Amino acid sequence: MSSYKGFQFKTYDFSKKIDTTVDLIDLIDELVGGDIKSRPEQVQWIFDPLLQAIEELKFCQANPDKVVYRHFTFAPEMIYAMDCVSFVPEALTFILPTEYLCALVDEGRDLGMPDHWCGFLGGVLAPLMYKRLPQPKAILHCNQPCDNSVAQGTVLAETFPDTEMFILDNPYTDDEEAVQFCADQLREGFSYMERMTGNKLDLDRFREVMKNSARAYELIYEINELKKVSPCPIPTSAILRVTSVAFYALTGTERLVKWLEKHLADAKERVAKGIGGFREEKLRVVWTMSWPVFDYSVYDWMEEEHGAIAVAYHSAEPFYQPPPDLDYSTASYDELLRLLALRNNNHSMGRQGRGSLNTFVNDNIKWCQEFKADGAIFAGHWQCQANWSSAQITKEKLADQGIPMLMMMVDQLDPRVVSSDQMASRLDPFLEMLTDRKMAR
Amino acid sequence: MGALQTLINYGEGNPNATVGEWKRAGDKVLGYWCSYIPPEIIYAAGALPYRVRGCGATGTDKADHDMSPVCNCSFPRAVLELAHNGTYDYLDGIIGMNGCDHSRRAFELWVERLSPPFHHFVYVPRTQKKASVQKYVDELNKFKTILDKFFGAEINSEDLHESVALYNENRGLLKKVQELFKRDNPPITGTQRHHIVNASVSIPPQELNRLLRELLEELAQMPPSADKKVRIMIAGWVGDDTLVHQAIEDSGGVVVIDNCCFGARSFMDPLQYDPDQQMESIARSYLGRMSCPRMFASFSERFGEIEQLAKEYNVDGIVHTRLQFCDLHGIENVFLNQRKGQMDIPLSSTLVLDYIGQDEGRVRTRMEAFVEQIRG
Ligand code: SF4
Ligand code: SF4
Repeated sequence: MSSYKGFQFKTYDFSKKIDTTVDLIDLIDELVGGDIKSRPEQVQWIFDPLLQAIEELKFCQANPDKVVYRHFTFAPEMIYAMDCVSFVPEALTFILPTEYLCALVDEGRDLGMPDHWCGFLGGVLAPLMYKRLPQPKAILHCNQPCDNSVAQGTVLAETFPDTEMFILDNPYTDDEEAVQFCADQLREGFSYMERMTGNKLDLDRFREVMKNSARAYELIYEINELKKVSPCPIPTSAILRVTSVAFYALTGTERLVKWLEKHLADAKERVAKGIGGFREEKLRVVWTMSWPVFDYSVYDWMEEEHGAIAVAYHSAEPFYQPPPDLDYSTASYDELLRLLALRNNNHSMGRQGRGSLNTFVNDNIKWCQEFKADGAIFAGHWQCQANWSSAQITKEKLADQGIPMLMMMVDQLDPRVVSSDQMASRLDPFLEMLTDRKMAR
Repeated sequence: MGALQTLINYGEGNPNATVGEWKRAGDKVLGYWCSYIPPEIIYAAGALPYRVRGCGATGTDKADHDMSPVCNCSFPRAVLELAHNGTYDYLDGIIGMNGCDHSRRAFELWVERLSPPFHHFVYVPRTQKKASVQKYVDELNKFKTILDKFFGAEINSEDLHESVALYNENRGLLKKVQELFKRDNPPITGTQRHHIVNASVSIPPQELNRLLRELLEELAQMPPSADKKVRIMIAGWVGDDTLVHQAIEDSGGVVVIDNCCFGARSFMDPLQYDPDQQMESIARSYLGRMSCPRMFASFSERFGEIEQLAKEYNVDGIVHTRLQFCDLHGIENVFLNQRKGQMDIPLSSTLVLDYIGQDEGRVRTRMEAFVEQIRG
């Protein structure tokens, strides 16, 4: 039973023996896809990116010669431009039912995986090593956001020794030099893709993909602008999971653009009517770093109990400015590469992880100020070393601005480490304090 | 005092006695974090390159304020603690790089909290792609320009040339010392060699060359150790600490070789220097030498090196180590274990270490049991 002050959170059954050898793609299709399709039509659209991601997984299963492995912070546009489909092993950890994921993490530990290894990558160690996932034609990897990703590269290299990998060295800085460095590497990346897949890069196709990508970022920018309005028109939980899947996996596709247009129209309508998400907005918080993939009802609890809406979250706010203006019908290869470099360098989680701690600090200050937050919640995945080492300074710098920050340890994927009710018990006094402060003002 | 003892003393001291002499002469000392930052360039600028270490730290309270001990490696925390408690106040500056997440953030926190007089971050790519090698060349050129400005004098190609020659001589002499361990009964212990390597990254290179030449003469006179010992290789990371070496050697083993960073990795490969392409050759050489798991997907290469070194040094057993919370060496453990069947040599189960607050008894028991198991 997982409850806090009468609020019922999701419960799990870890006593059942899980068969981890089942086809994970079929399982996701059946359980997650099936669940989405069974929902009422008026809410089904919200989950469309998830359905699209599942369809891509199914496509990979059926078309092994089109499968390109991709790290979750390597922008997918390159793959769409090359007319292939990306397979992101780590994405399974976002989508899989919790009990399965935990069983996979345990299996990874049985293989000798260090206990502290982040479940994002550790959750797929066993399926990779036991070769239960599709064989890739090519592998695009990178070394952001963290050492876990570099270590994951070892897993892929050892699992698929005959498949050459393309590895993007993510830069440390955010200057023009860093963009150029990334663009130069992406040029090498396209040659690699041509060599590995036998497909020739079609510039028009690349233009179209980058146009869709830029449009998606424009839309998310507009949606974010609307979230600055009080009451915030978008509830925290309903959209968070989907938006993160969309931006980690689907940028460059037309279907994502259509979804975001609907999302924006919905938000605009709410703003026009002066209505918020589900419940009355009393507190505005910035939720930074990890979110409990296993149970979004923590956000429902925050809203119900404290009227606290997470108006900005680290992993669903990937772009900070609208993308630069460009005429996509005539854009040159170099211009497109530059845009794709910007996209990679600003990938959420990647951006804060690859760079200096000041990027993390400044991004958080910016979000809190722009979104008029009453407080910030750093929910740090317990193994996330670089971000934990940025948190204390962020807290101090936010305090200088009069914005309190809670530092809370979580495991993004595994409720056995920190459960929803434990999270609620940490959040409760903090949110109470924010309410008192607000009332006193 | 002979060269051996002098080098051991230097290796044990943090700082060692040469630092004081260097400073008294009015010269600068620059700390650097990792072996992917070429000391050749720092030395060519006229400063003593001093690789920062954690030895001497007895706790990590101040470092832990910013770097949670629940997920961060105790080595960089120990280094940061020493910076907090003033041990590194003699440094005129500190150079960081992206070795691992822990050391990168520890450097940044040093800068943020302690405002050293000079600091610079060298970005080092993790691959050898064309664009990445070029990026490292650009980074090294930038580093040189920044040092030129800091010292008010330009590093000319002759300075760099001489510095590279000195450091290559260091490596060659250290390798000669290392090769003595191919003998059945090496004249010194692996613990002593580890101190020598620690000294080698923190004393002036001419002084090191002089002492190493003397040492080689001393060693030529020394009788071989009497009894036959179990020959152990350490693979992984133990930092500048000597506990694991001591535990093995107190149990009747001898550490004949390692692939560690404070170890063979730092001297086995000479820098492949081309005077006509100075920075290019330095960059290529550093990215291509005996690698560290920070380099992307490089395990196979390292496994090959381990196999080869194990053969060359006639190794009886391999002790595999890592520090707690190290992702990079952590995954190495998984695959070394997977491939152990390919080697005809016993491999210990992973010895997970804490740099600070080590449970010495546990390490000694584990090493004793492993040496005993090999002896049969
Ligand atoms: S949550 Fe942290 S440790 Fe996990 S992948 Fe992201 S940055 Fe890495
Ligand atoms: S042991 Fe690992 S985590 Fe610790 S400093 Fe070295 S590479 Fe970084």
